[in-house]
Formats: sequence, structure tokens, C-alpha cells
Amino acid sequence: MNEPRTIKVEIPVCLDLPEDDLAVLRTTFETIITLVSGGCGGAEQHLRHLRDGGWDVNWGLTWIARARKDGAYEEATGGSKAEVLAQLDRLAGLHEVEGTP
Amino acid sequence: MTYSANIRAALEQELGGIKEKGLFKEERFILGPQKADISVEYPSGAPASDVINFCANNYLGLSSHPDVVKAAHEGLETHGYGMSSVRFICGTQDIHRTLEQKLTEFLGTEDTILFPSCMDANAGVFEAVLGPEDVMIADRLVHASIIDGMRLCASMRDTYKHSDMKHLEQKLEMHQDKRIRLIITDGVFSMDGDLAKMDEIVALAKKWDAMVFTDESHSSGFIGKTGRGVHEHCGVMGEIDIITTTLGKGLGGASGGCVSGRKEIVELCRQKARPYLFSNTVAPVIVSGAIKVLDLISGNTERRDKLEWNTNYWRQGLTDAGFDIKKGDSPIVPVMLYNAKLAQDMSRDLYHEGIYAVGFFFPVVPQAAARIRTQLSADHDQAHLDKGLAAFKKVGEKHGILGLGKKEIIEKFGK
Repeated sequence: MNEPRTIKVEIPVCLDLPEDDLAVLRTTFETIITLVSGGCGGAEQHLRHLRDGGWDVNWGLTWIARARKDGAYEEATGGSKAEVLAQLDRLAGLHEVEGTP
Repeated sequence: MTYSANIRAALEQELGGIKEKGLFKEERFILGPQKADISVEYPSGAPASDVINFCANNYLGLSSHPDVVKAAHEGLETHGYGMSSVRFICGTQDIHRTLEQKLTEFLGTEDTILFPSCMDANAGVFEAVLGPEDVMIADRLVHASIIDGMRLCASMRDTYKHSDMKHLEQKLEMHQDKRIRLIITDGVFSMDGDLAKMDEIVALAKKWDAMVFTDESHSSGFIGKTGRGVHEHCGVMGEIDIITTTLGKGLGGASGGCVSGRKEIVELCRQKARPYLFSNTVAPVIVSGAIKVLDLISGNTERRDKLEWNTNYWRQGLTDAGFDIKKGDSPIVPVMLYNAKLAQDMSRDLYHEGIYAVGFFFPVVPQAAARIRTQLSADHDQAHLDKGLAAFKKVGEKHGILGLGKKEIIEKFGK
């Protein structure tokens, strides 16, 4: 099996990108590769299998955001960064304390 | 897959982490039935100690009431030990219907469905009733089982600051585009023993076209003039859309819970709630005991009144002794100590004085809000309370906290 090939892109020193923007760049490149390749994982086969089983399947690119604090974990998906962070913010409210029985 | 050394090591490490944080829970063995006077083996293998129980949810003292025990025996004789079935296949007996009718009448609702526990009721009800087009707006201090139930539901999850009606209103306004807005609260919050502002919540629900859910586990049987719950206390009987409660606290203390409320909601639970559909029926012995409990407390308010007297006496006694307690009307009376180690030390010292009361600290309660949570019971008599107060005073003096408020205790012991 071939080794995966990687592309390394240097970011100019003068471009002082915050971590959030770097994450967007990284995700964008990954998205392009995923779109071009279709995932190479037999997507068509899975899709056919699901549809043969009667599932109405649709998909789309989405944002995902995850938050951890001690043992707590929350995850949100949505159409925009603002949407998923708003969701995470709402969900964090459920973790104020563990509570008593 | 075998249970490899790596897996064992990883799990041991996690357990070690729980111990390091001081959160490791050890069971104490009670040698006999649940009541005010109990004999406890702790730690495991140690000689038994006779202590007064100030940490049970046995609010009405019915856990070992002779009439309830007798009714449970009779139920065992007439209806058997188990049903070997879920409710909807062949697990529903006449007594299940009777208990559901009695709970409906007691709680002042339209219909009721039993669950194996209130944890299961809370796990099942939201998913059964709500969909992706709806929103759940919960008080941030609701019970863990409600939070778990919300997670199992596809609706949007949102919260409001604890008992903050302005914040709740903002959230209700924000979510006017949703099909259903469900306000979710505990009736009595188990951490502080404070009551939900149910009348204000109902008023907001009417103003903003929302439904109201309340978990009355820490109030059923004793809050309100006739013990129906916080909705009775606040004058909004019949105006709550969904009530969940437990048979495992004031109402006999065994197990089982229910969803009670609008008949369509209850019917949806009967059709769709997964803990109901996929769990065994509540055992006949429990159902028989619970029917007796409801008969006992529907007929008169003697036990509820005694609990109220005990609660007032205990609150006054602790206040007079110089303790900083959370104000309120419920039989949950937290003695505020703010410092985790102090809470643990005092709980241990009280145990040696014959008083069983447990310390809680972060993350179970907020940072710098450590406390010993005491819970009253109608099973306590004045002698129990006086002994408890004397022990608290002695231990409080030992630690030099009597008469100190939050600021002084934190200055002395740290957060």
C-alpha cells in the first residue's frame, strides 16, 4: 500500500494568524482533499447499502466543535462556526455542577 | 477481546484519579431496615456503630412503616414476586392501574405512567414527547437524570441561570420560533433544598406559550399544605404539564417512579418512552406498598406535619447554635462549610458522635460551597433532633466555626 502523500505549506512569518484562523485553514485544506477524493473509503458502496435498506440519506459539509472540561465533554455540529459555538455554549450550562442525588 | 493488562491498568489509573480527587465513594453497610436509628458497619469489617440517620430521603418515615411492610407482604402473596415481562406485553396487573390512578389523583394531573425509577422517567419522557423542532430550557441545577434525559432527546437543549426568572424569560423570548418550548425545573433542588418559583414559572409559560416540566422527587408527599408538591405550595395545582416523581424517597423509599401530566403526554410515553418499553414492570410488591403509602398520606397530613415541625425545629436549632445554613422550607438543610476538607472532617467527627450526615463538595456542588447536607424525617422525634443538634454544636465548637459566616469560614479554612 502506498504511503500517504502530504503537502506542507509554510505560513509567512509576517502573517500572525491566531490559532482559530489556523484551524480554519487546516480544515479548509482537509475539506478540499476530502471533496476531491470522496474519502476513498467505498462511500458509494455504503450509500447503496443504506438506500437498499430503505434509508433516506443526505449529507453535507458541517462544522464540528468539541469542548472538554475535567470529565465533561460536549460536541456540537452545525452549518457555521457561530452556530456550533452557540450550541456548545448552551450545552455547557448543563455542566455547572454534578449535583447531588 | 480479552481483558488485557493494559485495559486493567488504564481503568485502575482512572479509579486512582477518582481517589486522588477525594471523590471515591465507599458504601456503608446498614444492618437492618431504613429508619432514624440505624446500625452501620463502616468501614467494611469494622464493628457496627449505632447512629442517627440524617442523610436518608426517608422524609415521611415510611420506608419501614409496619402498614407499608404489611401491604408489601400481602402484595407478594396475592400478585407474586415478579412479572417476567415489560408492561405492554404481559406485565400490567390491576394494581399497576390502581397505583397510576392514585398517583394521578394525588398529584392533581390527568394521567400517570409508572417507570422502574424516576431516573428512567426522566430518561424517557423528553425523547418521547419532543422532536428536533422543539427546545428544552432547563434550570442549570436540575438533577443529573434530567440532564441525561435531555441528552437523549433530539430537541435543542438550553439552560437558564438557577431560579433566574429574567434569564428564563430571555430564553423563552429567544426561542419563539420553536414548535414547543418546555421549561424544565426541579420542584425542590436537592443540593440547596430551595424550591422552584413555580408560580412565576407557570406565569412565564403562559406569557410565552411554553409547557412546564417539574421533577417533584424531593417534594412529593410533604411539600404543600397536603403534601402534593411544590405546585401545591405555589398554588398552581393542575397547571403543570409534566410531573415526574419517585417512589424511592418520601413515598415509601423502595423504588419506582412515574411521569404524570397531560393525558396525551402520558400516552406518548406509553407508546414511545424507551425505559418504559424495554424495562421490566415495577414489581408487584413495590406497587402494593406504594398504594398503601398513598392511602396513608392522602387520608391525613400527620406525617407531613410532623416533618414540617421537625424541619423548623432543626433549622432553628442549627441557626441558634451559630451555623450558617441555607434558608428554605424544605427538609433538606445544608450546613454551609465552604471548605471541602472541613466538610469531610466534620462529617467524620459527627459520625463518631453518632450522627450520620454526609459532606458534599466540588464538583458535586459549586466551588467554595462545600457543606454537610442534613435531611429530616418524620421518623425523627425530638430526642433525635436534640442529640443531633448537641453533636453538631460540639463538632462545630471543635472546629471553631460557630457564629462564623461565609467570609470568616473561608478566611479561616480557605476555599
